[in-house]
Amino acid sequence: MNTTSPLSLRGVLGAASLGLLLSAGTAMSQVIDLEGETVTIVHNAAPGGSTGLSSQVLADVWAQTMEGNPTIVVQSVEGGALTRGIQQVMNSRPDGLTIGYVAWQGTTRILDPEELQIPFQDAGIIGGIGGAAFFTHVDAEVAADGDAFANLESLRFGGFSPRSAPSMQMAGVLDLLGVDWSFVSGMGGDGPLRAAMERGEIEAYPATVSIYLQDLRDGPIAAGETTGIYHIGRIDEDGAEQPIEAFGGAFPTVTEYLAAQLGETPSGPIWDMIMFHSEASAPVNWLVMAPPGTSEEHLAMLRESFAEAVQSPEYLEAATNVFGGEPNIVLYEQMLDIVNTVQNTPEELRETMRAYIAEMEG
Amino acid sequence: MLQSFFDGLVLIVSFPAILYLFAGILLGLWLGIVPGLGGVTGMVILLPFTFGMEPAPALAMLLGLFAVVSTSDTVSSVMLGIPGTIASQATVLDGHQMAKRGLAQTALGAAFFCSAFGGVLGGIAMALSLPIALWIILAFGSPEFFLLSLLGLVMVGAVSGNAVSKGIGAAALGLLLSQIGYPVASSTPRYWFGNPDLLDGLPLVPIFLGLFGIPEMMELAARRTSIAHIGDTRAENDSLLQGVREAMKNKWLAIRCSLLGVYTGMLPGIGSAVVDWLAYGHAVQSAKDRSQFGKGDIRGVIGPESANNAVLGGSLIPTLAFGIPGSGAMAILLGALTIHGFAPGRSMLETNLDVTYSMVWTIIIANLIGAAVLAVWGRQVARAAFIDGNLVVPAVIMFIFMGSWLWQPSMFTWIVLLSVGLFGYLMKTGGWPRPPFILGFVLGPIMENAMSITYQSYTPLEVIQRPTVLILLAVVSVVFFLAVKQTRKRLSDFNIEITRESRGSLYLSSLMAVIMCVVFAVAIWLALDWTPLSRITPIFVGIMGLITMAFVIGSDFTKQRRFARAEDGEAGGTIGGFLAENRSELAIFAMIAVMVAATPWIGTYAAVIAFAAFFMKFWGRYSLLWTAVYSFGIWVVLYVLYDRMLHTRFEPPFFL
Repeated sequence: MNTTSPLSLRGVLGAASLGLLLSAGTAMSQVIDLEGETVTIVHNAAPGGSTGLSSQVLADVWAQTMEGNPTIVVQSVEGGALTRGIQQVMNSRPDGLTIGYVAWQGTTRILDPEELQIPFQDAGIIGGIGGAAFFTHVDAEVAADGDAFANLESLRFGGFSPRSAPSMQMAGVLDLLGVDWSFVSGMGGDGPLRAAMERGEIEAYPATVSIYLQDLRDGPIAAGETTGIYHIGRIDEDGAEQPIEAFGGAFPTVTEYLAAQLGETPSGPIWDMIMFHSEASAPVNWLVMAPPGTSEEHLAMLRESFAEAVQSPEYLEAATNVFGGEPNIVLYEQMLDIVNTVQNTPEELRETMRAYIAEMEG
Repeated sequence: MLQSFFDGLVLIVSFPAILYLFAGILLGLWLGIVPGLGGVTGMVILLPFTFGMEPAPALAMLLGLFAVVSTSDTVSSVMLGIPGTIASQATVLDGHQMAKRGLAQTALGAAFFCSAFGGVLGGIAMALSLPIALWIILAFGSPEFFLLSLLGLVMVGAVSGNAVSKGIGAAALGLLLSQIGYPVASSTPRYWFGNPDLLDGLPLVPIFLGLFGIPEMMELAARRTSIAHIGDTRAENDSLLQGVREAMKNKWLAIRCSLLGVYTGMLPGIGSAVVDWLAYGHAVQSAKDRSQFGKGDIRGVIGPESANNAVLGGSLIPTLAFGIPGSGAMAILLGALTIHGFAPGRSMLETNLDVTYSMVWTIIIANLIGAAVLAVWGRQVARAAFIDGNLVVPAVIMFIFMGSWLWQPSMFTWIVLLSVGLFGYLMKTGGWPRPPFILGFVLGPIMENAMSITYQSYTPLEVIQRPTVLILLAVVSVVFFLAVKQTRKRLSDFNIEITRESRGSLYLSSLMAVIMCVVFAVAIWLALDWTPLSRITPIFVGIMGLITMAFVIGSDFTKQRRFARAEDGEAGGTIGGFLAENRSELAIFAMIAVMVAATPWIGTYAAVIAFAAFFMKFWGRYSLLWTAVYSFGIWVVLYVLYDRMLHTRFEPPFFL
């Protein structure tokens, strides 16, 4: 005979639920014990490229600094124009077992349709890594130096897509110089762009510091076949552009170059667009984040261990191999500022970028 | 240079590089056999381990692994009718038919021999081409790429058999589907219908696994026999050596296709996804007697297998010389080079030439060893053709679905796989050749990219002033002319899809053509407002598709009338009979569909294991004990291989 009344059963279930909720709440507010666990770093690009390699390099070092020393594996979740990997992290449980290392393209992603927007501010932001600084690489037969470049009547330059920030910046600089330009899209990466320039399909392109150090500096630039005009520098706390050390002073920053060519410091909406990308896009290629809902205590541990990992000599050495130069480390506070800046981009700036994209699409 | 060549050999044969090379070869052989895994998966797994290694052993292991995958992937193509990797799609057509006729060993013998030959020739060609590598790559600009892609498309005629209009229609559909997602020259995605999964287009791996793998498994299960249905004996004269003899007899075909592989490999993006079809098309076009193609012609194995192993040698050249990785595997290799401090460019052809040559040696040695290992093992592999098909189907379905999942872990991938599987079955049943669909799908983005860059970078006068353009135009014209001539003379009197034409199959074919008409028309309508560079390809393809569909519907109608005029009232069978003939296959498909539908509810583990258990017990009629043992085996593979080794993120049950 069943002696348990429905009321008492309900009471037991209720008490059990309350107990579960309380214990879950307690667990949520603590650093999650990761000892013996496998943490997955999800990145949103194809395996093998700089995203995959640099996330692996980070995983190897971070496993040593993260509390509990979990095993960290890297998983590629590509697709959806980089959104699939980001969404996977955003939709993961905040159980400490998933971390995102995502190419975020924040400054141009804000131009996407509503359904593709990502509320990065809701994620548990940990930090960011920047590996790519760009300079303008030109066929020397087209422009042998900066003066000749500024006096060009027209220029055909290449890039991956009209939405890429370095291409948009280059178009903006050409407009400020009064050079008529056309854009050739469809060439992803330094290799295809350089081959296209050697074939004469394009006359210039934004090249990375990595390929500059690895090949261009001592190769075609040293041989006088090609040249560099200016580079996109780093924006400091005062909003001033500082040179990237890896270029070794070979080319001026875009601010210095334009000031010299125009006779005054540039200003206006085009310049604002160029600086916006420099400030918000250039420092960070990869946003490191935890799923929304991760407890502050756990996030604090992740931020601390991330900072320790990315500033360790072991990481810097390995990352330098991947990027061809030392990476730009962005810690939590700065990353949060960047995310907020991007999410609050003024409408006028968005319109300027949309206009450029439309023009680059022809 | 000669010194560097031998220094490269020393780098590879010295300890411990040689050990790592062997390890890579063994892993590569295994990865090639399992459908859906492939060399890229292996390289992704191994890459992190190479970070702390010396460059020579690291590169030897990665390249050794990748070099042999396109040798062992033949096993799946021949034995199961499922391409082990994308590089062995064309081998399915004749290789699997040979296995069905009890000639698996002959097919495998020819394939292994030609793979080794092609791989070695590819390595040698790479070594010889290095001094002129930069010139070759720079000679081929976007206009040339466009024409080469067009040349690939012209091969549609050769891989369509006697169903040319359906072949062109299938190619048009493949081209149209390749337009989904972001175009090259626009930031507005096409045909994505608000679904982010479609922004990067449809994934290739589920497409080729679904198109060939699912229909083959549906038929095998429905047949309730082993793969070979000639009884439990091998056909006369079936041996690996016989395959080698056949390959020797067709040595010029093997040489031509190997060279085709090398030089196609040099062209980034075209590479392994297309080269086996180009080689198959060439084998068909250059044959005097085409009647056996599609039914188990050894030349249909020799051509693709010679070409697909030779691709690697060629594809290394743009990777090393310019840092242009033409494929996912080359991107990973490039990553490994970067990690070890090597920069692609002139240094790989000058100061680090010994490392470059070590890769040449790796390719040569790996291909020889890989083929030798498989040849030793080939006799046992061929016996799999006589295993009860009911034991094969659940395991292969698991590999197909998990192989696709691995590339893009989402339910969308499975839905694509399932849909393409059904579409592949309908194509096969309706007499629509499937290879042109793949050709169109793979070549579409390459063609559009090349066309877009050409339009943006060149004037028309600049294009036609390029000597290479004129040469390629002449080649395309000649190949096109020959294809038309052969079609008109009905010389292509062979079936790519072995389908018994009946009233039912013709109705199905016509229905597919009508649906495709609607698809093409809607595609054109949607494209009208896009930017010029975004809309030109879909509109052109849509119009071509509509015209071709009109031909198909007309041709099917004529054949229907022929059946109607026949004195025998049963000629062409009845619709009811046609449906009854395909009932078992559709039942299997329904079981697979239930597995997919149940996955979001009960999770990947439970869905896949439940499918295997249900199939074994109720379709295969195995005992409970056997069913339990088999299902446990499926769980072990899921857990050990996909979960623990490959870190695949499974779909959890809804309550977790």
